[in-house]
Amino acid sequence: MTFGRLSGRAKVLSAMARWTAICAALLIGTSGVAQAQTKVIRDGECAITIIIPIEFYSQEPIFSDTVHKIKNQIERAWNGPTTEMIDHIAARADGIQKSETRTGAPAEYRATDRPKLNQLYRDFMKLMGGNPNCATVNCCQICVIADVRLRMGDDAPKTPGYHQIELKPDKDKDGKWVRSYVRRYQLLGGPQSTSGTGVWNAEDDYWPAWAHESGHLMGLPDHYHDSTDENGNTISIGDEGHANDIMNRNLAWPTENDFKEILKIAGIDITNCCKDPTRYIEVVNRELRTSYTAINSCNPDDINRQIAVLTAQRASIVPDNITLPVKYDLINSIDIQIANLKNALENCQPPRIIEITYQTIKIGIDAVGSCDRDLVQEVMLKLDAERVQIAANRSLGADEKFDALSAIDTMKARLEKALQDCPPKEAFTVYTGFEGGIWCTYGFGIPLPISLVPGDDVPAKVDQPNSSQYDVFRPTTIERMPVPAKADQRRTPLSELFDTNVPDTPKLPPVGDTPNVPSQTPETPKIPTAEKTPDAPKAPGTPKTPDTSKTPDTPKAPDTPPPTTTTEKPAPIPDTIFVKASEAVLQGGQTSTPLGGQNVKLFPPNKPDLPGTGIKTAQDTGFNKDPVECKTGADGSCEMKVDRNDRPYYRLPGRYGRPNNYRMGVDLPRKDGGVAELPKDGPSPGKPELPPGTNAIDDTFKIGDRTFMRLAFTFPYGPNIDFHPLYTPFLKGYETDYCRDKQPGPPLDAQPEPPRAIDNGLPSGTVKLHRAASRARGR
Amino acid sequence: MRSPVQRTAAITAAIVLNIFCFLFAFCPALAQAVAVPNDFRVRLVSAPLGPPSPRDGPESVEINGAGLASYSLMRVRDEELPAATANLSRDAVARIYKAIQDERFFDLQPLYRDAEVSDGDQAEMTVTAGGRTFKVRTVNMRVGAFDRIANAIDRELPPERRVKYNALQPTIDYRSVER
Repeated sequence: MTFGRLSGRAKVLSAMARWTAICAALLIGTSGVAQAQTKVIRDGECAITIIIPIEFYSQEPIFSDTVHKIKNQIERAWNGPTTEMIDHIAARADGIQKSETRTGAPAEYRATDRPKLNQLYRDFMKLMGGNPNCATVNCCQICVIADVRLRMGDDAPKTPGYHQIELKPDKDKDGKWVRSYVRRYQLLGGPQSTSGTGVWNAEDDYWPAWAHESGHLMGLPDHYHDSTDENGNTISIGDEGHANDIMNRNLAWPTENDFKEILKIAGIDITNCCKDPTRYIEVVNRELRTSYTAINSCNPDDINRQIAVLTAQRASIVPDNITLPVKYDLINSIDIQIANLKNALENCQPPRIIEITYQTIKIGIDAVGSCDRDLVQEVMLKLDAERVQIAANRSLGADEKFDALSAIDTMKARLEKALQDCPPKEAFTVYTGFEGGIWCTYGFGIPLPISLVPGDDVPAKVDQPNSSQYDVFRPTTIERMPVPAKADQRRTPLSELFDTNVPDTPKLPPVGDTPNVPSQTPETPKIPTAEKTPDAPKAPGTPKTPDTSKTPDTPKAPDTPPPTTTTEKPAPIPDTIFVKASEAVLQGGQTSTPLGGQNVKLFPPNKPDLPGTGIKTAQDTGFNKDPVECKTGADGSCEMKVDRNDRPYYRLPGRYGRPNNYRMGVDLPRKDGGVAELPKDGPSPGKPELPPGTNAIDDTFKIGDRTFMRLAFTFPYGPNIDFHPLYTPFLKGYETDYCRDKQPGPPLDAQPEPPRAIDNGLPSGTVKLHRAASRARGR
Repeated sequence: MRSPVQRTAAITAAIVLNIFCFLFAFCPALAQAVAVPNDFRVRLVSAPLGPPSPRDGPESVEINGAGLASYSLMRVRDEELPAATANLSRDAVARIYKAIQDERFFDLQPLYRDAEVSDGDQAEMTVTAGGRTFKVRTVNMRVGAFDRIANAIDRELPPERRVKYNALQPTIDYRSVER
């Protein structure tokens, strides 16, 4: 007796599947027959549908649920990942191993890993916006539909065009298995039959062979062969390269070749719709390598830049037609590297700038203790620059940023105080340049060390004590950043570097009382260059935390960042240098007379950076002011004003809250010069004996293949010296400089480059000399 | 006239004679049991083809002339039976040996296979007797002589230790040959 029962829902589904198949076959032009009744339909250049019509019957009671379980298993197996895709996923998944389950059998994925691998594939397809319900081969979408129906009884008429599969209980009356099979006599152009094309176990859902058997209905052969086990039994083992092919064992996956074979049987060539991924691979690999550099640098800017680059690459890869396994590898690598970069961002805290400032403050503490005024001022300049960087750093938390800025301000106040308390030397050395108003009295562009004597006169007006000491660098807007979740991993606040043991005056620094700070810089953690960053690196060593109760000088951090609004404030009274220039005379000579018309400039000992290009103003640490200068009057005197904020640049001593006066007395020599051409390949010219007090500086330069020597002299005021007869015997054709007033250059013959440089006080312009038109024509 | 004692003795002798004659006439297996060679050994293996399953691997039984039957690990319904041994009677061994002789096992072909069937299963029987060893393998085919020997073996085994394969299922539409 034969039974067949279908629920209403099953009937509808079955009918829909049949209609889908029929309509697809009618509407789509290209179709083929892969195996008897199996239909392969090309829906488009890169879309193919395979329909397997199967009619089940049984001599036992059977339920429609079984039929739909079979349908589901077939479609899930054939519309999922390919073996090639699984290989890529498994290679990058944790805990996936292959095992040799049978003697001589190729290594297979464990059955227990199968759900995990399938889920990773589905997750990936979801991420890609792809269709996880169809297979993807060569960027073509291949959808397999099991068009199943149940024949109502063994003797009911067979539906033409359907494979006929008998369902049997999985065990006989003795409890022994009935093993599924498919008769394939339709293969290779054999007569089409609708009778008995196979027997499948009806309750085979634990280790079902249905998906494998349906491969035969699509025309695929088995990919296993006979072998002998250790007991001498004949068993089946997978063919070479087919260990995880569904046509070797059911709990595996279809290979790309399986699909190609099915299409080939149907006479359809599978189109390769994939782009060449070489370019992607090259670009991504390069950026992945660059990312490691960024990670190791612990530089937040570099890290963030790499995150942005990789994110952009990821976004471009996702929708593009790249072969799926390669796409998986690329995306997986990018995701891992982005995670590494983010991990680095988190674990490189505090950023390197904080570490640098930490060291600078330590040096500052030492400078205060040693009363080394040069060092104190050097540290002040350094702290100014670091303050700007910290204020602009977006990867710092607000609390940490505020702490760092407060620590810097505190340190600077102490450095200022040290400058005040440390007795200044009686005379300072500053570097000054002089030049006269006429050509022959120009200087040589060489700053001369000049003594500067503190003056006694102090202007009556004194700054408000609470006013800011430095107006140049103000904190930029500090965005409220999320406070780090791991509070215990935060470093000790920089402000806590100051405790009562820190000397406030230069008189303290017993060695044993130095601040309680670590002796070594904590190492910034390196991110391993392995593919994955397994665990977050440990936070850098935290310096010993001093007792905060002993830090009365440390400013308390308010709850909110410093205010970002600025108000105009009258400029503080500058320091004044009273210059007195006199004519230099020979020792023992008559008293020097005032020297007027001298341009006097103050030079910083270390040339400050010029404003950079492409750098935000807030981050500009260069110097963008005019030089400090004055021009002596007829009495040989003038005054130079030095902004107190600029004191460190000129190594002027800082004094807290009040301006300073200085005196600079300088005796300037007379100047003269000349030029002569040197003979080609000749010996070095000799030198004449010069009058007492005369200095000569020579320099050679070339014009074409001719060599010239430029001579510059300084000599005391007094009797005039004619250098022409002195040098003519040694330098044939020696010519003395003309001495005449400055004249403006002809239009366009000499102009600064860029043009706006004419407004700059700093010598940053480039002079372009044009050839005279008449001379050019004469050649 | 015989005395009652004589009559009783005659009747007893007749009964014993009849019993002996009955047994001799109607129990040929017993008669042949003595003919089982000392080196007799038969091994029957059933194994699936293709996708293996942890619940359906090769199953075998091996019986020697002394009646020692060795079973492999077997699966019955949802139960796994471990490898084991049992003793068969000499008559049972004799019946198996007789079936082998009757079906002329040593004259069968070594391999019967329907190449049009994918997957399914196979049976393999190896017999040693009288100094000869011969192995026959059937793959997805009914082979009358072979299957009758297999059935003869299975009849001597408890149901859960029987070695079954598809061709023994009467409703399977395998191709069929006698030998």
